[in-house]
Amino acid sequence: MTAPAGSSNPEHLAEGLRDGDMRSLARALTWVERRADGFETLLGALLSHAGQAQLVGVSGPPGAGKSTLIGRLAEQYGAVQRVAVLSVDPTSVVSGGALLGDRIRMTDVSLADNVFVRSMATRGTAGGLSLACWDLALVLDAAGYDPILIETVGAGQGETEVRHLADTTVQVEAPGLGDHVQALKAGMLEVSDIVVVNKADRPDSARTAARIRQTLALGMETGLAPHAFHGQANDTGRGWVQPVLLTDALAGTGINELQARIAEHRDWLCASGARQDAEHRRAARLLNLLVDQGWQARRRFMLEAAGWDDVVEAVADRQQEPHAAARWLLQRVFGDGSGS
Amino acid sequence: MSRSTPFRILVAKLGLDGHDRGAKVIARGLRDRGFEVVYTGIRQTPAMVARAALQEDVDLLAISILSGAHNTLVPRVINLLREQGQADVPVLLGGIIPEADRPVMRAAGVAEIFGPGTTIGETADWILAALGRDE
Repeated sequence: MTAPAGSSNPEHLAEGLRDGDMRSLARALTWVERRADGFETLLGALLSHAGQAQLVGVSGPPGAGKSTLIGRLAEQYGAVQRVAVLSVDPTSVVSGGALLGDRIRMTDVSLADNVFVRSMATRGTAGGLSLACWDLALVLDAAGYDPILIETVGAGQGETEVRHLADTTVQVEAPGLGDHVQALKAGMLEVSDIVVVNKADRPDSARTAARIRQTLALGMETGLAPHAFHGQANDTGRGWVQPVLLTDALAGTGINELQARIAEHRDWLCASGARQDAEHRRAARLLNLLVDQGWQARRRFMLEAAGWDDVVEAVADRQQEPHAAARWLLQRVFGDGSGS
Repeated sequence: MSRSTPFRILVAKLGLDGHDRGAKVIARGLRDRGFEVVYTGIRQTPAMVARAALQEDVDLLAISILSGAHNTLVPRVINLLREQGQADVPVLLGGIIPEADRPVMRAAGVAEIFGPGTTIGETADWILAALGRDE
């Protein structure tokens, strides 16, 4: 893969984006997302400048109002500081293409010099984020954007990957999306730091918020509130209690309070020591993802050599039981009983 | 499309023009051909379109315009692209562009003009050829 046209070299790009040049920043993001030759040098040159920004993950079901809410937040932050938005939309599993449509909701900030909005596709990564998100967040961080608002694909129950990347996660819900049993199910709700019920102009929004508060209160009793995720389950004094806020992103109501809670969470992260723990966990998670990716590419060859095609055929014909077949393949690859 | 990284294309609606069915059909069609398509939404100024092209670092800009204001608005976008170092980004024009205006648009820097009746396939093939790498 060749380097994107228009770029000079990693050092120049790093310098340019650190000087506030938007073109250099945009090129660097493309370079890193494509993993073009030299991208590791570029990331390496930026490492020591990153680590300042608060990464705020914003998740929630499609249509809850994530993009509009982020647009409002970016508008507020942009009045006093540089803020970046990373918006992730799904890649089609059929064509490999994607329709990235989150900018549509952010036109109020489309000309603000303090606001940088970048759309990206998942490109086959599961969990609601692109793997490249981690690298792009680092580039934006090094460019001096703070906070970095990361919008996941429309998600809610399975797409919890953003919690590994973000310092602060905001779960956006909307009234009318399900009964109280939905609020009891596992998902982002139990691992998010701040919960927002958007579309507060709807008559049932207060009831939705009340149900969510009840569910979260139950989590406090069973010890599964989000402070458990932050590694302080046994030290409730240091724990973070998830606020549940009402916003109306279209009208711009409740945005100030959300901004205040995000700042509060940042303070809490620093004061409680949770931020250091988070850095450690983040590093482990990213390494895991990257090693996994390399490993997956390699294991394909190993499994093929072990007789993959024949085993698939046998399982498809119901000649072999799938669990036993998988164990047999693993034994052929590793030569031991690690498939148990 | 079997490239390891998809091309990124900005589909933009320029000016006071709310008719975006064509833009949406193109955006969806190009998505189905394996492109990553950023869609701006309607009623964008030249500055907004240029800013989006800059931040998204797109490989190509496709402008849809049916209002008749193309002679005024399109050159402004192209000048902004040049000023911000994106002179190499091809600009496609789609919509209602009268025959008499086409030489003006080309002189302003528009790479190709696609009117009503153009298929998604023709557009996609043209884009792949223009960007110099094929499927």
